[in-house]
Amino acid sequence: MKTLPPELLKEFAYHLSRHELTVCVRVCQEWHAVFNQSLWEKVLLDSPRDRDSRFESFKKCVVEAGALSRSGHWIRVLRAYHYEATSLLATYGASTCTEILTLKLGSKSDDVVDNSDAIRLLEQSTKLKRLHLTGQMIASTNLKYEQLIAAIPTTVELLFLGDVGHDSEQYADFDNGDDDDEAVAPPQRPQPLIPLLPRLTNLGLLGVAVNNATWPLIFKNCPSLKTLCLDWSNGKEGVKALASAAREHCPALNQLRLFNMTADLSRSSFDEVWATFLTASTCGWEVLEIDALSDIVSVGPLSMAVLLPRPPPNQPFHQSLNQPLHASTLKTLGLGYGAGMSSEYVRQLYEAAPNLTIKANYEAIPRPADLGK
Amino acid sequence: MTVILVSSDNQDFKVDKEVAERSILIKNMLEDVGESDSPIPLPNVTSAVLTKVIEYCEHHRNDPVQVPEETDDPRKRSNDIEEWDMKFMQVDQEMLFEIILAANYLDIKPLLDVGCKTVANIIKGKTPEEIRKAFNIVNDFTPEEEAQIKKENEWAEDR
Repeated sequence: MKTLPPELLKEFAYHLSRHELTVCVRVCQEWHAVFNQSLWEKVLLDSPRDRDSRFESFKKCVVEAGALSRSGHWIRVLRAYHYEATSLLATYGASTCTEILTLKLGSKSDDVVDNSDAIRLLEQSTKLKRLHLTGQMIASTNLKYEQLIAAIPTTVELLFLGDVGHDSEQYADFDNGDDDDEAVAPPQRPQPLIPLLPRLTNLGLLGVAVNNATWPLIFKNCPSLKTLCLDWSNGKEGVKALASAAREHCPALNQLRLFNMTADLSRSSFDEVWATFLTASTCGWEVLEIDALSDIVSVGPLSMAVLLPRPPPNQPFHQSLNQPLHASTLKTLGLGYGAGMSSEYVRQLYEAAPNLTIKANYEAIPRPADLGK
Repeated sequence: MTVILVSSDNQDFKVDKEVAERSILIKNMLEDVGESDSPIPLPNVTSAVLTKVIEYCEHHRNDPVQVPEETDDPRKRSNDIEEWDMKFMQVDQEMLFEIILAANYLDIKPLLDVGCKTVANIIKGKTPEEIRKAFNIVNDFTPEEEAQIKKENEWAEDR
């Protein structure tokens, strides 16, 4: 009977689930060689459905069966929720887990996290391209926060820092602590002073407050930045500092994604802030996405600011088309759930921007048929 | 316009150019040679297998050219096979493997996919021993080795 060459066995692996792969590796030596690689390519331990039991089982495989010494070098993607997973990789996989391209590291709220293992893991991950750090590792109270940030490999193209919820709440408490005579001084938030990352194209900072003076230091170190993801951690003044720093240091920045924009801002203030940001950036925005606009019924004024200078009072909208700001470059305007726009606004936006796709509730609003392209 | 394909056992197959070009290998060959009616030798494909492959290409001659899809997670790919293809793949295992090898050699991606999905569907739900039986594979692990491999990979099992 003719047997299949290993490269075709590999084709089958694409059609098999993770569980089925654990069966296939036990069939024979040849199958093991092929399917073990596929099985370990993605080690995903963070599914909310079973992350605790999945992690416990992973720990047993690593500690008792020495799994990382045989298979650690196949790992390309690792996603974990438990900080202990980071420790296991840094300890048991120090010489094998060196080929990882995507790392998503987290921590449980009661994890004790001193960052040493995370720093060792970053130092051994010399090929890393995408890095997500969330939870206690980047909490303001973590004494080794700055060392961790400094250890990010220069190969990284995507960096996402997301704080844990309760930590930003804690910070907010200090802000309105006026009921105490001996007011505690707000803690000096360690700043995410990222090292020079020449290849970084995507940066996400969620729940991470940045001082105005820090933005230029961040942007200076990521000259290739193309996409920026932010939430409302930085306030109105922060946005201005952000805009001028971005304009100066990141000529390729043209995609902006805003998350959790449900802060108690009045609509006019929201619009004003982001309109300022967008008009202050001359790079020509291609993508603007605003998530979770549940409390904003109509996003007309903001989206107008994206595309066009504010029309003078009493002048019909279409007569101000002579100086479009971003209309020629903008390709996607995404508005989260609950964003309603009048059909007239939609029409005007499409009229102004030849390549635009407007999305509301994550679905594209069709371009009116008579406008063509 | 027709082209002549010659199988490894020297049989000629006259097929429409459009059908033959479902094979990227043949398409590229025809482009390289330009206008020519010389037969195309396929030394890796027997006439029995080539008959099947041509049958597939005839049926799918008008399919749109497949754009390679960039799925992040290959495991999300569907294992659904359309009805005609399913019937087409109801062959003995030797022929199934031959078709997969030919699809790979001739570079007919949709046929390769259908073949691999068919094999994947045979594998699904079986134990290692049942898989060995199904594919006539000799177990070359010692019991200790097999137990060790199971122990290393238990984290990935569904419970």
